[in-house]
Amino acid sequence: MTVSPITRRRLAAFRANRRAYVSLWLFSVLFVLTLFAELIANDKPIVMQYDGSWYVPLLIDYPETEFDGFLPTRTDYLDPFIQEQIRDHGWALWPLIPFSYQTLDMHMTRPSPAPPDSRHWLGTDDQGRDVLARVIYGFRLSVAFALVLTAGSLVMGVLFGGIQGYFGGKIDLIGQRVTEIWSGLPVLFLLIILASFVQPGFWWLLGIMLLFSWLGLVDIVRAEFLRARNLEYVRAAKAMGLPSRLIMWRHVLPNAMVATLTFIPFIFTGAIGTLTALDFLGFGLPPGAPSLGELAAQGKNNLHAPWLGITAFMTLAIMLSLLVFIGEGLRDAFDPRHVKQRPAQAIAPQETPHG
Amino acid sequence: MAEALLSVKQLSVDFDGTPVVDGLNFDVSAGETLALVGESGSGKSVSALGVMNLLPENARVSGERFLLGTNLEALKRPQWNAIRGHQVGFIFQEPMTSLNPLHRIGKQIGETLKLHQGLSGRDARKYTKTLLEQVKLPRAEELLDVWPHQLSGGQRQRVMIAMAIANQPKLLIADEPTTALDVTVQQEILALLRELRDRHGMGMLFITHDLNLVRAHADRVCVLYQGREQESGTVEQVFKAPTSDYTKALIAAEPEGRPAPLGRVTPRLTAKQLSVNFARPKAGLFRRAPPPFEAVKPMDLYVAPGETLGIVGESGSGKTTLASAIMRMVESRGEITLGDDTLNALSGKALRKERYRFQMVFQDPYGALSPRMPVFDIISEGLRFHFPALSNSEVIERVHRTLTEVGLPESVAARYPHEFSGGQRQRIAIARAIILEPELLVLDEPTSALDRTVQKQMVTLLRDLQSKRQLSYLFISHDLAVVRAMAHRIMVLKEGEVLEAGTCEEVLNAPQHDYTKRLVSAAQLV
Repeated sequence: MTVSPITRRRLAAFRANRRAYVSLWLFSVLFVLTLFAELIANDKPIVMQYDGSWYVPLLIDYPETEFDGFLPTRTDYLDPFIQEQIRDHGWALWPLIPFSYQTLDMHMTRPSPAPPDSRHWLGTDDQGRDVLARVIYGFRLSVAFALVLTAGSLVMGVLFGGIQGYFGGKIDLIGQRVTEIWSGLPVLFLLIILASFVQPGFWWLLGIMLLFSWLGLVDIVRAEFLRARNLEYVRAAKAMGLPSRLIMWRHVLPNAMVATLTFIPFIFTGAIGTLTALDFLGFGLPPGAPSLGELAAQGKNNLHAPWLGITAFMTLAIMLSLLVFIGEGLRDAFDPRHVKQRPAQAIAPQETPHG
Repeated sequence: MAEALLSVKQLSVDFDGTPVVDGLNFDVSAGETLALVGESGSGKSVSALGVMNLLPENARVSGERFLLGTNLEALKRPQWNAIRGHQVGFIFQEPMTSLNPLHRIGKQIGETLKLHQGLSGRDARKYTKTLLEQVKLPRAEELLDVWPHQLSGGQRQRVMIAMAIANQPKLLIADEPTTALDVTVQQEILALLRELRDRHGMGMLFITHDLNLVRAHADRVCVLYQGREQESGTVEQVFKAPTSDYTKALIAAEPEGRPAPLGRVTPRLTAKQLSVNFARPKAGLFRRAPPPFEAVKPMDLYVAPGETLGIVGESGSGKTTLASAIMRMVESRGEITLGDDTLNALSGKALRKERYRFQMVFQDPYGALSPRMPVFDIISEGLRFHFPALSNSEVIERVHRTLTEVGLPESVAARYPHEFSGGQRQRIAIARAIILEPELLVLDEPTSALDRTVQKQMVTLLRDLQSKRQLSYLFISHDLAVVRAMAHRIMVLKEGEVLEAGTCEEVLNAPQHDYTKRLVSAAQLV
């Protein structure tokens, strides 16, 4: 694929913004790491050898009888008896953190919530679960939620905004009024009401928030389409007889995406913020789910255990700051006004093609 | 000769190391007009702005510059501010954007007076009024309290001139002052500038691309090409006996030749009682809607195969609306037939299916091509849509053949539009239209954004294509020189009405209507 010079200039502008560039790298590294959370923080070994045969506890549940236990139930690898068996009959490769997000540490020497030590690097929460493991899984969940929500908002926002802007007139007028009324609905209350008669899970929350989160994009996309529909190359495509959907897809959308893309990081951070807030209030993800908002709520309830609140705060602060920096860099890179202006005469192309 | 007002020696400008102007010398004396002439990209504006330190930061200017014996090189920022607007006045090209839309005319002019002469209140107002009278604006007293959007382009340019001369500058820099204006207005503005120059004894640096204007309004001329001085001397010298090849080419660039004569005429496109109305918004919820605005009043026209109908008129005459109506892009009344089909009866999908038969080429070569599509996709898009049966290799073959036909190498297909100059882009736009093998081509000012030398090539190309393919052209232009080289017949439009119609020779050589007479005389056809 060839990179058009506009894209190249934007990439260069983004790279020149060191803060945004470093933020993007840091965020990508964090996200990729948390994508493999099961390999980093888990309560079962990744691979192990027992009596000469191979086991992959990460992927397959083995009954305890497999390792000469007594019960045909799922193996608890943190059980001292099993650990002893493994030591005697083979070896096991453990993840860096031997706890998953919902593992209750049954062998703690101190009451939970326990402060950080060498066993639990960021301490445990009030139910004896490892905070670091929960942060890792929680980070992944938040980002995944925000990603899906942003993608969904993008599709809906571009669709509705595009139709309003491109056709204009009555469609635009009615569409605008409908979106205005729709955006007047109080999202948070709807979610709270919903939480009272269903147990909201990941997809429920996503669905409800998706109903509203695209509204912010509509205005931008509409304005871009409204502007673009009178550009000469769009009129040329009309004169050529192309149907509206093709014109919108091929000619208007690629040029409208710039303004839209700069808005995305802010939808993204907004989604993370809302999810956290709901979890904090207890209307969010079901109990037990690794959530940063729930961690923050625990911090509030256990003021004597400051590592909870501090961890939640730091994680959110770092994640959102990185995203805002990235968004800022993107916006500047896409904004032609940020490039030093030259007079048109100086860059007017010559008669012979170059480039 | 008296001592020069402005004297520039070995002026060079570069942007981030790319030279744009190289070793330019010129002088301007009091009471004379020096024209800097060149095509776009020749560095004429950049040199003028460079002399006055008005270029962006990434530009580097070197060379000696003296204004009234002051070395401009050594000036500091506050000194610059004292010179600009006081000793040197500027007039820019775009009258629509160079006035602040949020200030009344009187206030805008008053601002420079306050800044440089300390005039304010009643004195400033009185002086502003005399300024507006000097630039021959009617009802000067009323105009003081008028907003810029209430003025026409020509009136705004007069206000700009009033601002420029407000502090009685010694030197006036006019950067394409009339390019955005209609031809008849152009002449008035330039005559005004000349009169003011003589009255105040100013020197004038006149930047333009239009040789006709130079011939009529400048004393000396300096021809620029790609940042280098090609030739300079008095206007008579340069026009009578040009020495450099470039100047010769520029002077000879007047579109020449005439359209190929026609045999029997059977109309291909006919429009009967064609009119376009635009609804005006209601003034209030319960008011009756005002009568619609008649952009095109009922008119008849026809074009035969191989024939060009020139539509001539100034801005606001409804010529572009007429083109859109024939392209069926705006709602219109009346009958339009192409061949045996009634176009105005078609709509929706049926109309789209027929669109390949009538195509359009737009005015702005920079806006008419989607910046994110390679040339191949731009040209082949319509072909793939209208003839889905074509195989991939057939499409490639057709695209290459069409590119050759419009005089571009096949290799351009893989590139993006921004890599091309205006003339090349216009060729791409023509290729996009003719690859569908239309019967009618509507050309909406296809040459007006191009340099003269490129215009000439474009006219030749269009004529060749016409005779090869028996195309019917509806050629819209305000430039009579181009129309004369293209059109068999002409229709003169003003305010949506046909003032005069007839063969090209009839209308241009013996105009009947007063307005046409003025147009023809302003065009200074050679």
